[in-house]
Amino acid sequence: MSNVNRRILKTIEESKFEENIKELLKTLLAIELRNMADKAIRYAEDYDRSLRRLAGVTEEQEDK
Amino acid sequence: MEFDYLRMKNFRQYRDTQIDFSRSPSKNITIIQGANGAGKTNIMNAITWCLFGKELHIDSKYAGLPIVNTTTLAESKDEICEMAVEIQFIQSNGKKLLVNRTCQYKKGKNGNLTEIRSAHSLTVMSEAERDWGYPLYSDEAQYRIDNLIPPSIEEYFFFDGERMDHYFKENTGRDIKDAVFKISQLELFERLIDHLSARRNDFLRTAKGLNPKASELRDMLELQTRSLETDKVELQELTDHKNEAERLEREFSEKLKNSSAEHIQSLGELRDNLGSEVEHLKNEIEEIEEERLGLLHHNMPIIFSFEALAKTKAMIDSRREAGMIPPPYRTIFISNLLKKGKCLCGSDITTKDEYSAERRKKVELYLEESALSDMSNDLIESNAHIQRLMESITDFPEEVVRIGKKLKSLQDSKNTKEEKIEKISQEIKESNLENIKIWEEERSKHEHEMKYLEDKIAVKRNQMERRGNMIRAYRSELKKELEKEKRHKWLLEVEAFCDKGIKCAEEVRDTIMESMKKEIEEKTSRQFLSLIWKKETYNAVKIDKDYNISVQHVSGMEGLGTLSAGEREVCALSFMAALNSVSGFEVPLLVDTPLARISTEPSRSIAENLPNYLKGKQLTLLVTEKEFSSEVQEALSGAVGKVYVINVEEKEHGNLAEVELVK
Repeated sequence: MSNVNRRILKTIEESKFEENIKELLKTLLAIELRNMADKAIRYAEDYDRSLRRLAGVTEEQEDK
Repeated sequence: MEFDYLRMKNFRQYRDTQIDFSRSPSKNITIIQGANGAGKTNIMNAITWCLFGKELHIDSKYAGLPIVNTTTLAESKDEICEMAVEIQFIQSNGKKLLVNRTCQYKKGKNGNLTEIRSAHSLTVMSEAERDWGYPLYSDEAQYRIDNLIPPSIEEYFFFDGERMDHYFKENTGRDIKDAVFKISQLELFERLIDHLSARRNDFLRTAKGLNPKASELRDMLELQTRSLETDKVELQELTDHKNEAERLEREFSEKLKNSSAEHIQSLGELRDNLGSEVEHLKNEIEEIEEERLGLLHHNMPIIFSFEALAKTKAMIDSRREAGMIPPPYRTIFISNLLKKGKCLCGSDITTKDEYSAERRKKVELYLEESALSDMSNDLIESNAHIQRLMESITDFPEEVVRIGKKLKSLQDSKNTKEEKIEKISQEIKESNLENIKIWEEERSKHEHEMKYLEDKIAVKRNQMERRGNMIRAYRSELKKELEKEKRHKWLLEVEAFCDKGIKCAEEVRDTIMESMKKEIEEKTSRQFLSLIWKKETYNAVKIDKDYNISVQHVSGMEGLGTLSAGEREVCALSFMAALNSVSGFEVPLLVDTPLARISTEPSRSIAENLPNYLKGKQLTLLVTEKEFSSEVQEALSGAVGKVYVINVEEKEHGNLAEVELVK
């Protein structure tokens, strides 16, 4: 459960950013909050998962 | 979110105490009054211990003492003593949230206490629509609590008023900025921007590494494909011309063969026959040349490495002759003897005495000599193979000579026949018959043209074959490059998305930071000016861009440094309250000894203004009797819902405290 400061969420929601950018910021903030609580230092996988989902482009298969 | 109750069981001086907090919207202040050392701060510690498992405000005088109630411990006949703190919150949606932390201690024989780790438990239960929801335990429960009240910002909700006057002395602008970042979670943005920048750079680096050349290849492929199409057209034109030349050459040749002059007829026949023989010889020469090429392909690698092969063979042969390979004994055989400690003859080789040690040394020498044993089979086998290779080229020089001779003979024969053809052609050309002369000239012209075109066709075909190979290679390369290009495109798009995300994150962060700074400045200033008793002395509290706080004196001078301890505390309290109110977290406030350093008149002023200033926020004040003076009581009376007094009873093994509801 994310408990990102309501003020932050409100500012993001009221901004004129595109929806996927708003969603990205909220998702990444929740990841950072969770990682801070878990004292986790790895973030790349979580970030990439959100970027793949929200970037609006289909990823092509990586070259082997 | 508000406190509903706090229950402490065997926590420090509290044996079994429950505090119900005032939650009335108009009277949401709870006063807990106690003398110094009665246990006020330990109420705050009970809360942080229950929530975070730590006493975050522990006084040095309690630090070394057991957390569990010493009287219960001493009086209990059980070896195990249980301690628990339970807090019930009422959330903003009206539902209850129960947090319970329990632990057990075991008494040792010499009075030592050991916590039973396995008995430590944390439970969080939330009230659902009709009943309590499933309880959360341990890490899950802690995660839930940390989300409600992040431990990093706990100190801005539960704090010691007595230390407030040092706040601006101990904390620089940077510390204050950090506090704002913490409480507003703006530090999350710093991490987010750092991490998103790192990902963006990674994507960019990977994209640069790919460097797709698809567009370049596509151009090359298009150029070659277009050229091949042109080649095909040109080839067709050349073939048509050649066929026409061939037809005309045949036509004039036939005319000559069918001419009325018998001599010319027979010359024409002879030339045709010689022409067929030349064609046959040409085919034969081609076959022989292929044979020669095959011979060279097969033998040249051996010829080039002949010297090395001969040297290797000589080395292996010399070792065989010297009896080094194959060795008389296998390494494994000697190793087994050494391992068993017994020689083949039955002698002891264990080094238990000098005789056996000497024998062992001899056997070990065999081991050294047998070092090549594992490879000897391979070496012997390789030697045979080298021998076969070297022998295989023995006939090479003769073969080359034989083929060369044959080729020369065929070439000579072909040249002779071609010379004959030339002579026949010349003879026909020199004929006295005019039409024969013309026909031969025409035939010869078309024959030359045909040969010239045949050469051109061969060159064109060769060119087309090379172009075809190139096109195939470009296509295969392009396929790979297109895959790269797709990934490259994706990486650049995601990189751009990250970039946009970073810019937006920075914008939100800056917006929030600026608005928070402004709001904190306004609220601190308003609060400070309403609480301060020297109303005419100060104008405002200012926070600069680096979060350095200044108190503006009416004279325009900076006044923070000249504030009295009480004024400093008021300023810090105002700042903390402002910070708290703009934080966005619905956590109740609990302040320990908020008025200890403040004299009567200012205390009354604070008490009068505080309820208005923290309107809607549940507040618990842990105060001494002196702090909770009749003036303060009077000023707060409209907002205080409950007043407790801590009664302390001195016992042999430590004090016992009880809270008594007096109002």
